[in-house]
Amino acid sequence: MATPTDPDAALMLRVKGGDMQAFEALVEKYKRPLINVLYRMIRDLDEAEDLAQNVFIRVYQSADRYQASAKFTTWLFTIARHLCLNEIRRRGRHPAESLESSQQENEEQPAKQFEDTRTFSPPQSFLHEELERKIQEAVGELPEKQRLAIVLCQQDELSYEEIAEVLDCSLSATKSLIHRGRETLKQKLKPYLESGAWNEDSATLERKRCL
Amino acid sequence: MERRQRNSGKEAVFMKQANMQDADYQNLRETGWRRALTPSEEQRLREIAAAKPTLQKELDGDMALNRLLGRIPSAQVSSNFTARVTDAARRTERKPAWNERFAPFGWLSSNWMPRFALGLAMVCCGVISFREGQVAHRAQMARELASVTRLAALPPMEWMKDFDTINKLNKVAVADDELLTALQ
Repeated sequence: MATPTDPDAALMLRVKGGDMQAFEALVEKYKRPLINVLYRMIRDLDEAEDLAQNVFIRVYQSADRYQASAKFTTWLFTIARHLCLNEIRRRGRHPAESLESSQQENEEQPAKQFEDTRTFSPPQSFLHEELERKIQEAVGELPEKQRLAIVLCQQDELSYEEIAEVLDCSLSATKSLIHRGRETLKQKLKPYLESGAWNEDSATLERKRCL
Repeated sequence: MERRQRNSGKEAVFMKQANMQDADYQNLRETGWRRALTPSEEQRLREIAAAKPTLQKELDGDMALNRLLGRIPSAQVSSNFTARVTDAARRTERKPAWNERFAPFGWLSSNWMPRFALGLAMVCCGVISFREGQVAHRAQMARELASVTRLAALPPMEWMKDFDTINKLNKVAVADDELLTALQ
């Protein structure tokens, strides 16, 4: 078999052979972009992490079926897209159930406990936090496919062709989704776009409007 | 006439340049949706947009949205995430590949020869079945044709017109046992 030029594909072939270190390297490399995409889709960090864990487990389980001809990131984000859309639909049907509780019911062996030493950095200022919240809200209100297209577009890992493959659309349809999503965002974030940048005035105006 | 031709030639060159600029503009704009443009890319984009006021407005909106989207913070990943995932992976069973799951047919995916032989055998089976079917169909047709021929060999219908009368005459009356006993 020819050696794949994509280093991720090479790692994946090692995972196929049962190399756990290669799997760990892949998780380490893609955990952040994957969790970012999932977080922007479902807007819940804990759920996004659980979902990302499921995506990586699915990758591990299906390693034997991985074809080195496919780019690893496209494969990874396609799995993520399926699980994410399933989760959004499941949430629509059973809004109270969390992903973790439904997962643990099926597990016979209890999972090991690992300490989380992450520290949350405080927001730079109240205004920045509010702006970020507004942007995330506007993105979160987009239709599923437009949102996913916009979120994937923000990832350096994927080209337009690869985004199209993940979304299972043509290239032109993908660009059209992104364009429409961006136009909606422009309308929703108009007050902040017109000022060119976030400033005190627009924040006070917005707060007054809310009051 | 000559001047008109020269003008149309200039127009074609101008249109071509305009189309190239439009394509260039669109490409750079789409690149800007994905990542921050380099200073030279941004300058080129601004040069093209400067020629058309509508493009300028569109570009400003695009740039501002790019800046806003760039402000969305990255999710803070748990420090134990990788450890949790690898631990969970160790505890899960891997789904075997197709050829492992169907071990008796594993040889099929390993070499082209058995695949070719199996394909050939299947084609042969198909051809033989088709020929057998044709032979059976012809035999059926022959049987049907024979029965039609037998019908054609029957006596003509005029011979049959007094059939009922003759049939009645031929019938032997059943003996009346009670009358016979009385006579005796």
